[in-house]
Amino acid sequence: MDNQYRLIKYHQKKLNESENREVEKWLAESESNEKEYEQYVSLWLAAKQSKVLHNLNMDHDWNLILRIANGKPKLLNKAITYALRIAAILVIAFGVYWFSDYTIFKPEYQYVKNEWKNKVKTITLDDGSTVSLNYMASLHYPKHFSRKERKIKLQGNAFFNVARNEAKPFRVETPISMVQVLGTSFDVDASVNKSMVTVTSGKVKVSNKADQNSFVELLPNEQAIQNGNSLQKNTVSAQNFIGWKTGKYLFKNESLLQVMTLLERRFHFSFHFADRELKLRELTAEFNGENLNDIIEIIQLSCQVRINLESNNLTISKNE
Amino acid sequence: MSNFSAISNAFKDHYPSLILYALKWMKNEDLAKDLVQAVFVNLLEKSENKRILDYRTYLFKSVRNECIQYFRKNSPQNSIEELDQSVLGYFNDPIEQAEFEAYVFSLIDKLPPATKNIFKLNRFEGLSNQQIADQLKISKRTVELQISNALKHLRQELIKSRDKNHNFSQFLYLLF
Repeated sequence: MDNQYRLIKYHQKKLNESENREVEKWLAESESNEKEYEQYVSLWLAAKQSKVLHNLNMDHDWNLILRIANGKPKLLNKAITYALRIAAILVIAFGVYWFSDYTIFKPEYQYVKNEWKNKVKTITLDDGSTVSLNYMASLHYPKHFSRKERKIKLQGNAFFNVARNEAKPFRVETPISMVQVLGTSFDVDASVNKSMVTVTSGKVKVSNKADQNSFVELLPNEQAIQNGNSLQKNTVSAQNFIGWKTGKYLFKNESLLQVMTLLERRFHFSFHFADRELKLRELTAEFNGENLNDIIEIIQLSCQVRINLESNNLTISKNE
Repeated sequence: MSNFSAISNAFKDHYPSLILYALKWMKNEDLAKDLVQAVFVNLLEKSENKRILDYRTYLFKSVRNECIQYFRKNSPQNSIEELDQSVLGYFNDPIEQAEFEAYVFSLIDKLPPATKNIFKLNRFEGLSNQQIADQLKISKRTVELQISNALKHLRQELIKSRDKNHNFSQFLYLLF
């Protein structure tokens, strides 16, 4: 048959009566016609199923598999921790003899990094506080907190829910900032030269690590950004900054640039505006756990733009 | 061939089919990917003390086991028998179905650019023909013509590959 699409429509029962009859007549003509029809339908269905391969990045996934498999060589780690333990015993024995001071018992730190792109990794700390790590975020934390304070180190993006304990302040150290809290929940996004702290409940103090006198205090829906040595405070909708974890976003006349920056934290794509003017297009929308394709479709319709997703790269261009 | 390069080759050959296979049970793409990746991580970790002759069989079996285990852990009330029959087309065997789908995907990539674009918008992005026509500023009739073209092309390619390559899985003989 020269109109292959008509066979698909027949399969979908979308033809009118006379068209239907025509196809049925053609099918009845020979067995090979019938076979041809089945072949087209199976191609049609298979193409739909193969959709998930469209966004598949084989090299990326293979590297991820290798990293995870290599991250677990038990033998080497065992040898090192064993040596460290012996060293620790010697140091402690020596220290106790020399200083008789408990401060020598430094807490033993653990290291964890979230390598899973599609998962949020949540860690429960010694005091019941939880830390949710976004993709590629890493955390140094002690198995047991010391007597005086609860101190951990973070690089990357994470959400904290801190158990209240006024006697023992909770401190998050990033490459350039120090975040201090009593009991609260907040989000930290920390790279080597920039930190961003967003508070959802309670009260948080953020200070420059290089200069402890420069600090800001944050209440819910307030955000501190430290860029190099400058520290500034803004008012934001905190919900959107933990959307990477909850899937919930509420945008009110938000610029597309900001929308993309926030969605990137959840879906880990990279994006590019073909036209600078588009960065300022405004979006008003609410999302609640939709997948990226659905979100893209909604943005395309409401902002009148075209968004192309190809192997994890989003291109936003004019709808022409 | 060392175990490592054998595994790496098996990944290249079977990874897309394995994901499609896992999706026959798992409704969630991310979950399906995670399960398949876990199978490869396991395989790499145990690669020294394992000799596997037939990676294809081993991998599909392992993925199936991961799916079963996942259901046991997370929803004991649903049994593994609840394979999504609706996604099985003209194959009775989900492995063959998954491999066929992966092969069709690789053929779609070889379609002429304009045809490919329209076919992908319909099948991958799930746009209606009217939406595609509006987006590309062409008539709906042209869209349908291009989809017809795509189907014709794909079928010809499949028949060609069957005639050329006699070792290609026998499933093509059932269908083409």
